[in-house]
Amino acid sequence: MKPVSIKYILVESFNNILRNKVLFITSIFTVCVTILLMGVVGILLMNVSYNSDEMLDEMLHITVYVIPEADEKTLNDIQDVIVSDPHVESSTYVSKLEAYEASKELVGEEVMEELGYDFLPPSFIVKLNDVTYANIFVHKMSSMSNIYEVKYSSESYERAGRISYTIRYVCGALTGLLGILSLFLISNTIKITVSSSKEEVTIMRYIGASEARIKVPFFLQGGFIGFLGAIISFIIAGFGYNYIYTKLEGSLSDYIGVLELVPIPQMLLVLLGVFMLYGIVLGVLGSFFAIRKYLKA
Amino acid sequence: MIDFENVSMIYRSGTEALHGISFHVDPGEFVFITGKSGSGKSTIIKLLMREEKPTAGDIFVNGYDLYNLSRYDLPHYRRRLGVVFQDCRLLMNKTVYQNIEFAMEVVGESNRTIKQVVPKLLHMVDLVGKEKAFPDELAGGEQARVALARAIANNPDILIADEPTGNLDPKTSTEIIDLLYKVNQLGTTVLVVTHDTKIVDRLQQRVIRLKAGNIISDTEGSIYEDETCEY
Repeated sequence: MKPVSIKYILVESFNNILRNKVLFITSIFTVCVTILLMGVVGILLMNVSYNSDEMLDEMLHITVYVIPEADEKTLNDIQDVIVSDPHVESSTYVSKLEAYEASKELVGEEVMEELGYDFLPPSFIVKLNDVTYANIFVHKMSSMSNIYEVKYSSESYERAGRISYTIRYVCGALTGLLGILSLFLISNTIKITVSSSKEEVTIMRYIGASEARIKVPFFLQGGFIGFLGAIISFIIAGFGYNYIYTKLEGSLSDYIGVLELVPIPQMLLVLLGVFMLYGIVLGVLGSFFAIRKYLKA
Repeated sequence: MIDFENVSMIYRSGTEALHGISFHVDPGEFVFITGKSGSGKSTIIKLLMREEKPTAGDIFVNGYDLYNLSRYDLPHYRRRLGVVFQDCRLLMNKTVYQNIEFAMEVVGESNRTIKQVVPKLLHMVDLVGKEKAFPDELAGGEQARVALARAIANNPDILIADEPTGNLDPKTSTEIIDLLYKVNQLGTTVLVVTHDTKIVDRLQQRVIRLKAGNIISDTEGSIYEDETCEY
């Protein structure tokens, strides 16, 4: 596209905005409110996820104990079964000697020296990449021969998994609903702008303006509404989060367990990216629906 | 330049607007298309503008087959046409200068060209000094001249004027027709759709007369015979 066309399109988009100032401001406000609501949900989700990730990280470890009499070949076979499982993220082998050293710290050096280390079972500490697979994995390992015991906190596992999935589904649905509302609002704004520019569009078509030249200003206008809505919501959400974070000193441990808040820079970066993307995509999509319906060639 | 070959047009409502009409217009011609309401004049403009496709027959304009014209080619085709509408269709929120500038901007003309061409057009249509006026501050004749300037801003091959003197007094009508003639003398093919007998008489150009969707006469350089008409 020629520079003159770009200039024309930008000027036209700006003129469209000026022509419907009140509507434009109303749209920005509604988009801003929608993105803010989504932002609040997002902030909650991020914080829960931030903490549940840490909790899950610890809980996702399963310890597979092998019988103390197992020879090297048996250990290798068991390790092969573990490593070849696609749901296993990593596995660490803990030898009898390493278990012995660890036990010394727990029960005392003297006791352990007396007992020796031959009775201790070697083990594999396994980390899964999918919490929902834990039960199946435990069952699979328990049914193998030469396995002494498989240990994991099944209840915590399942609860953490359930919480994590519930939050994701609820937040996803809420964000989707708010998104549809935003789309409707932006689409309506563009529809009114299109209606007020109908005569101009008709003349443009008679003169021989291309469809792109006619439609791009409306897309830009939608994108601009989304962009401004996103910027304003980011500023409000950013200040709000900063205030809460400072007030709570980065932790909710006084109120609910050991919940740590996501650090401010990390949160702001995510909010900026998500808000911008969400706002602009919503704006352009809203314009697309309005243009497709009301600006037929 | 313009070829209508056995063109028929029946609207979806069932109205039969044209019945297999044929005519040819050479480059540089000045042609009046006349007839009373419902004779098919407006349909010819719609077909030329490619707002409608003919029910039967072929239309070729400037090398374009209008029936098979793609959506991509339509803007390119229309850029070679200039149209003056009866109601002028000026943009009320733009000044005289901006209305003409707009026509050039939307087809991607450079600012430099626009700044060179628009003053010349304003001079040609005798609107120097009215550049900053808005359409509702202008008289009917002045509005028609702005519409004409806008129509020729992109130097079209064909200028179509739909009842350009429809709402004007006789003196202003004469001025507008003289301007159209001037444009024709500069090499543009001009088609004027009108039922104004006086302006047809005045120029003594080719006249295609329509009646109920048929061409009833196509005479070169004729004087319009008022008494044979039922307007």
